[in-house]
Amino acid sequence: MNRRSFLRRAAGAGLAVGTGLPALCARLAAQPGRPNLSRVEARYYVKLPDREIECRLCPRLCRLGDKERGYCGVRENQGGVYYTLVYGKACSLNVDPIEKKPFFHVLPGTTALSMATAGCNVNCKFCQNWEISQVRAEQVEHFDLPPEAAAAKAVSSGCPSIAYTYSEPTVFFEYMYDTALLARRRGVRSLVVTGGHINPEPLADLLAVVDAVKVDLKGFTEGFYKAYVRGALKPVLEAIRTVAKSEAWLEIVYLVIPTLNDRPEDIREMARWVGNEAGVDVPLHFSRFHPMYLVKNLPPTPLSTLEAARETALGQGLRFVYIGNVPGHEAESTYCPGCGQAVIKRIGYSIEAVRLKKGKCASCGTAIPGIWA
Amino acid sequence: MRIVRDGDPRHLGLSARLPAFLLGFMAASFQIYLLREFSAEFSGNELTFGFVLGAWLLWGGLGSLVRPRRGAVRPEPRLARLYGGAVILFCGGLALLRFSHKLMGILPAEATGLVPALGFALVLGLFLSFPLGHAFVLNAGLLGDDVGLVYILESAGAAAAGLVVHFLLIPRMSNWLGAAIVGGGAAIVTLIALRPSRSKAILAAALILPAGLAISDRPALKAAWKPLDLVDAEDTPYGKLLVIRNAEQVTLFDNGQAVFSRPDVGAAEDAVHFAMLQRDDVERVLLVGGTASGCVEEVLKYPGVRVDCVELDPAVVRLARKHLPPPALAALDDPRVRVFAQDGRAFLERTADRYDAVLLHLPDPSTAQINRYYTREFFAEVRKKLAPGGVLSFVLTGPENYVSGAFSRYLASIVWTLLDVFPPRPVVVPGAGVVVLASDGPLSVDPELLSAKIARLGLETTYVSPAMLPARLDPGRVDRLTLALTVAAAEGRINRDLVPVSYYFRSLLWAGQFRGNEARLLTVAGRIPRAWILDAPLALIALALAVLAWRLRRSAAGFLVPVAVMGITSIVVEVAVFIAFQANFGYVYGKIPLLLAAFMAGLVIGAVLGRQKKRPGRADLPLVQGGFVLLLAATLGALPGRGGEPVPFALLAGFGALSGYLFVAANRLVLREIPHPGLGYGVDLIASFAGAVLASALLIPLFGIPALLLRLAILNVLALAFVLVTPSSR
Repeated sequence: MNRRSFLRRAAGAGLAVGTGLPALCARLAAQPGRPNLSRVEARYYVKLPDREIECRLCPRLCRLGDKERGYCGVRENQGGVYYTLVYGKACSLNVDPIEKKPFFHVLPGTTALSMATAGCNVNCKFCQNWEISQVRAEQVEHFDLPPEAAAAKAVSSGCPSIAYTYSEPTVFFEYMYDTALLARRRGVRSLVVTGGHINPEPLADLLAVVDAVKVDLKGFTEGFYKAYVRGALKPVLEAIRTVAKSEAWLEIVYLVIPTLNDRPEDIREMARWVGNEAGVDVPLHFSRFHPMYLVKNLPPTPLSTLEAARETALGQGLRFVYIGNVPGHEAESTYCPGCGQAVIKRIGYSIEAVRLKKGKCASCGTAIPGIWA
Repeated sequence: MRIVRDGDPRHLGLSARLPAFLLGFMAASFQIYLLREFSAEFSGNELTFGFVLGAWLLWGGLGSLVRPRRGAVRPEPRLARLYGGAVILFCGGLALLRFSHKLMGILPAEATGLVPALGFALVLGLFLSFPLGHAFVLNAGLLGDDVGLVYILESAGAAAAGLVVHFLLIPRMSNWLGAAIVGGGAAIVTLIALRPSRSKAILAAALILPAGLAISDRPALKAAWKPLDLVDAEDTPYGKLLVIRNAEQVTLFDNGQAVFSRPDVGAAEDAVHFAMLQRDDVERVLLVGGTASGCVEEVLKYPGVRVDCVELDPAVVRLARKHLPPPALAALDDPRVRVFAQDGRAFLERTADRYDAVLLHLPDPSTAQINRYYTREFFAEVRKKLAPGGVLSFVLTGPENYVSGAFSRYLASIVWTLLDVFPPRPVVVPGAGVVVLASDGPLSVDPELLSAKIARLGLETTYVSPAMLPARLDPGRVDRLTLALTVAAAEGRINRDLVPVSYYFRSLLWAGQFRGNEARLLTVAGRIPRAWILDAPLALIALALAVLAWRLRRSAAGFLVPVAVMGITSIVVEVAVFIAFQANFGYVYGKIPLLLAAFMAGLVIGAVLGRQKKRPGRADLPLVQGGFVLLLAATLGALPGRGGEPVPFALLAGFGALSGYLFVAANRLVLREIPHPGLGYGVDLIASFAGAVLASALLIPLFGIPALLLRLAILNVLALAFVLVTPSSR
């Protein structure tokens, strides 16, 4: 064999391996058997020619051909009809303190039945639940939990609320919506923990059936959203405005990540915006970052940074500003904006004392907004 | 320099031989420094090690397959350019690695998957190892085509590099400074040995760039780590330590992994309190790792305790003392605390003390080195050194809200291993850090019980506290984790020193973070039955050898077969012996380079002996090939540590000698018919590449060292049969 023929054969072999191996691996790695996915027609999409569709649920507006999935990995075009693959297919179900979500002005001291399916419509590099958010539907082990069963489970678990959380509930919109409706009939409230990457129409529909929304405002620049979230800031701000104008209760969490979104000027700007656009009574939580997912080696947020952020926000007129993920810090408690007394004393997820009377400060009578019963 | 082209190497002076020696020195030292920097940038684990080493071997092998241009009479000018270029590219490669994250547009602390790591490894290998591989061929031209002599000199150079770098340079200076000395030294020797009349610009650059490396190390580190504020750095024999400060938060990284971040008590509380709260009378505590992480302070909250802390790298404590406020480390000066700078496992095996609690504060088992702390052999040792009712505790990184199948299998491999040693079922505490507890006495994760004890003892804790425990230890969460473990444990893989399955499962978890095909490929590999991946290829190789024996019966190319088998065997045996050595005798800096030096010394001796025989005898190759089979059998027997520390050295020297002899003898036969001086060397390296990648990344964690060595022995038997039946060998 001469050099030319050797190189030719080696190149041919390399090409064969390079093209065939990934396909072979994909087939071998595919889950055995038919995955237990749902096939419920999705809402908020339009049909296009040639069996294409355009999803209208979130700002991504995925345009999909036949058999293609949306960015979220859990909605699929099948022959020109768009389906949600995770309707009634929960993969995570826990009873959590409501303070863990965190909701500090909603039913303090109670538990929330917390549920999620796979999927997400963004890709935060610091995602705490990447094992279920950054995967496709068939890559998690889920179980059947139809909406009625979820509502019943909340009641049997003694949970006055259901939290749609962990991953991104926008991507299991239909499941969340139907569960919320049924839960309401049973007297169970619905709480949405979301990144806010949702279009106005579905959001408006959702707000009619849920009771509280906590939005994770991950940063306050488009650059941050593009680089570290793979999303956009503008639609999130729009979503916050919409929730603030609705009947639903709104809380905002800002996870302070060292060097990424902790600039004092950004925090000041954000706090000012929240006060102007959402209202000074919207609770704002500055959460301590702990290393996670792809940025496991960024350091945790210094406490001084969190405290400075809180001071900045209070300086912008916001009345309920908290520090999260620092158990035992005084800024976990709720203080009356009138007299400064602690109306809800918290340590971690534990409520030590509640000094409210019918939603008002027991000391001075100032109304403390929230859902207290 | 006098070059005599009469083919008689005895006429060649020392300076003619120097370039070949320099080649080996450069290649080995460049590889050592690149691997160290690579580990720091890409948080090395066995997968990345295997691919980096493999890429280096592959490109080196391909480079040696390139023949020199026809009509080129003098190799010296090309060698000078190559060597000078290699120094330049070496400096460039180090800079490329340093700024790899910036080039990829990601954060300095951001995790990368296998694909970027592999990409960098391939690029570095191409630009560095490929030309150095070709330099082997050029050196043969310089030495009258005496490939055996080039091999001997190159191996001697590599052995010298290993000793110089590991014993003189690494313990005393940073990687870049050491690399600058090596690179600058190589440029100077090139000038002296080859005296190039041209290529002055290249050689000038080869002198200047190392100097640039030496002075720009710290500024380059600071720039590469922006926007984080790097305040200190130290290259120790064990890795690259970096100190990052952000306001009052001080974080120490070791090869890109956070060792501690203070103040932040969460990790320390997890490591300490779940174990300490299990008993009322804990007095003696052994803490492995975590000396500077706040664990000691947590342990000292309990009355009447004494703590032995074992930390492998003393630089961790030194840097902590330098950068943390004095009260943060006052606990280390407490008379109740003793600090030992040594390998934790070796300490445990040698101590006569017994402990009420053994607390591990170590990374997850992502490498064979760390995996030693999660094996049956280690747990058995812990059990011997625990007082009756004593508690073992460690923390594994895990998902808080969803127990994936991948995590279940990973955790189950460790819990199942624990169960083999501690018959009462180990207990697990869910959370982002999953705390695993084992004891021959009762264990409890009842939040009320633990909270009551915290209150009774008056402990001031933040995360392991009455306020947080009820949510953390919610019965639903505990039950779900336990159930997932039970289901996964049905697979029943026990993690052993020589069958490190847990780091395969850990690699699966790690790979799952990235949206590429890494996880999928690893999962596929894990699902392939043992017979397919270990035995079927052997059967195919036997068939292929039979065909080759017929087709090459009159061709000297058949002698490349034992060379290829030798290449695979030697690299796999080296990796296997390194892993076994650390498991049996502890991780001691310097021993691994000495083991490598033993192999290289054997290589040189064997090659010299092979070269002394002008014509290999008929029985030579079969005898040497048979020697491999016998040595592999001896290695299998010695794996558990029989015979003590000298045995691995003797074995590797033996393998080296056989490899050196076989290479020279077989290559001489090949050259008679195929006058390509780099062919045998190339085949050796390319075969080694296959061995490095497959063994390190997959075969050892999946099937273990004994199974792999057995198949290697069979492979060598096949090679022996090939050598016996091939008429050209007669």
